[in-house]
Amino acid sequence: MIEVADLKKIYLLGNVEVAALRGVSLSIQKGEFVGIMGPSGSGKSTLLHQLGLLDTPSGGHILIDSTDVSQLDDDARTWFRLMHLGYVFQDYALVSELTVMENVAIPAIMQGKPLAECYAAATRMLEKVGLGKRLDHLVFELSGGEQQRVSIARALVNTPSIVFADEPCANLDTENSRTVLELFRDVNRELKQTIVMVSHEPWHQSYFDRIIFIRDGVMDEERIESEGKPGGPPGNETG
Amino acid sequence: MENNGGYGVSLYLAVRAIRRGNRSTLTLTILIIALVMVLMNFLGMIISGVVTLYNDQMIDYQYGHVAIEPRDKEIVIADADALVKRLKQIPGITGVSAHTGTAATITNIKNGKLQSKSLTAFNPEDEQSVTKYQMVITDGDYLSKGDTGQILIGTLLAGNEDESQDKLPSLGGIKVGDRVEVAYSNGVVKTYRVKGIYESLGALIDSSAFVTRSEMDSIMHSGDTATEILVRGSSADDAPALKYTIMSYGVEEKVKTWNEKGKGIMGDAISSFTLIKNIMTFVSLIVASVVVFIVTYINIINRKKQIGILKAIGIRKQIIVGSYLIQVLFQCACGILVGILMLNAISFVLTVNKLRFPMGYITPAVDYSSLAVSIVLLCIVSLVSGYIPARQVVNEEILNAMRG
Ligand SMILES: Nc1ncnc2c1ncn2[C@@H]1O[C@H](COP(=O)(O)OP(=O)(O)OP(=O)(O)O)[C@@H](O)[C@H]1O
Ligand SMILES: [Mg+2]
Repeated sequence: MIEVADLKKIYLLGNVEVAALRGVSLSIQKGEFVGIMGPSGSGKSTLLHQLGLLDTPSGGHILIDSTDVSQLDDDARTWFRLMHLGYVFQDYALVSELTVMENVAIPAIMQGKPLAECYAAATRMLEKVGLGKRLDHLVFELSGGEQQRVSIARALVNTPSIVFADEPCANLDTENSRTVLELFRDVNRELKQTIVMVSHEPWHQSYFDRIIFIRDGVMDEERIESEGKPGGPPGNETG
Repeated sequence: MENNGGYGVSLYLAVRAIRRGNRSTLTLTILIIALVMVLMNFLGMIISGVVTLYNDQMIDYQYGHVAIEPRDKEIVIADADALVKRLKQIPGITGVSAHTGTAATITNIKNGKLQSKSLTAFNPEDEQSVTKYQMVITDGDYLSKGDTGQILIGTLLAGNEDESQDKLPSLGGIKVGDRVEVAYSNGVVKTYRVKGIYESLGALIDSSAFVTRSEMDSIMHSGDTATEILVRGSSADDAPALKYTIMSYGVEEKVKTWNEKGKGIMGDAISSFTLIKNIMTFVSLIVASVVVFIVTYINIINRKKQIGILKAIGIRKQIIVGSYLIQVLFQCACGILVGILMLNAISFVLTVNKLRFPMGYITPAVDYSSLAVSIVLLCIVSLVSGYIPARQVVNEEILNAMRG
């Protein structure tokens, strides 16, 4: 459960202030699969980074599972990310010196669980994303779609309360995008996993329980009202 | 590996970074650290070789383990024979020999060349138990007890007919059987037959000359006196203990160990050597720290994105820094190991192809105590040089770091 009140983020570019978020208030329920959509530069990534404790907001409050995370110091935020949050990035963000299994296991290892247990959990997660046969491969031996599935397995290995994904399909073709989205939908349904995902592909909308539209750093209330049933995924053409 | 989520994770990451990281960078870094190690210890190795050689020669040809000198304000040791006898009975003493020295001018009759030297008299039998002259006779024979009119000459004093081959001023090519004229300080001049020529390889030692005590007595009427008495014990290290044993037996003459005797001459040279060595060590350490700094810096800048990722998924900064420090320590340990191997290889090569110094051939020896010091210094310097860039990059904002 995430509650955000009047969230602001102002970047300083030299002497110029760029307001990326100008007072966003929202709440996301446990088990929801939420999409964040909006035009380029509207502040989607910025919002996700604040929610995911990867950045510090300039103002406002974020409550995650009733912890006021905006009050936490650096070490506590790191610990909170490790224990409660999972991430999937646009460019996969895997560690090149680790094997597929080690990449997935590392957040569990960091939690201090016995190594065998971490590897077992990683293996289970990788089987779930269909990479059970690639455990000992190095990251560069995998295709982009496969790497993104590894990164999803990593995000899920500690069964975090929320998974954040910033355009996880941006570098993937339709086929792989669909796989990733279906994977998200499955874990959302089976594990009641809360997922917050940024996307700008209209056809992704059908996977989301709810969509938060952002425009110029604020929520686009009108669209939330007006946007009805999302359109289906495209045919063969890619993103 | 047991896991508690702490620095075990640093090790986990470091092991994999080393195993799957850039081999050639790693090899190069290890090699540079090894060379620094060699630089830091090579001169020390030579110096300790020189010192060992010099000490051995001092003991074997000049002072024995302990030298006894006349009391204060006296020129000679009176009743030398009685003292020698007493000393021979002290447990732990394996040899005693009385020396009588005098200034003399030696002239090669053949060509008229002359050198002023100190001429020393000893009892050849006693001398054998203390010094090694009789073992380094290169031509002719060692002196025997009753010899009169015979002289033992060092190879450098004997010299060569071709003066350009001489290393020190010489008599211009003396051979066994040649005759030399010795002018003593009391005005007596006597002709001697050269009985033997010795070569210890020590420059100072090989430009001396010796006669028997009875011969000296016949000219100088030195009788029962000696200018010094050399004593040999069981080992060089036991010399201080031997000195006190001798003193405890009531010997009132000045008793000095070989080390006390030799300090003056070689001491200055050694302290200059040591200064040079320390400067070299200092420069080498700077080289090592710069190299480790650059390597770690480049390494870590290249992995800025990766560090951002690790931080994003919840790995603590200290653990990431720890993994880089472990990598640095690993490079350091390998470098040190390779360096020690190189030093031993150099020492082996120099043992086979010996280095000639003024006091003879030196056998370089790896000095393990200064090796230990350089290992500790190298590790500290590497850790600091690794820590600074690691710390700097790890402290970047996650999103900045992840942008690469
Ligand atoms: N580090 C930064 N420094 C300065 N300005 C920034 C920074 N990051 C983002 N911005 C600005 O904040 C605004 C929102 O950026 P953000 O990345 O959140 O957009 P976005 O909605 O994710 O866009 P896209 O769909 O292109 O990814 C933009 O105007 C951007 O220029
Ligand atoms: Mg974005």
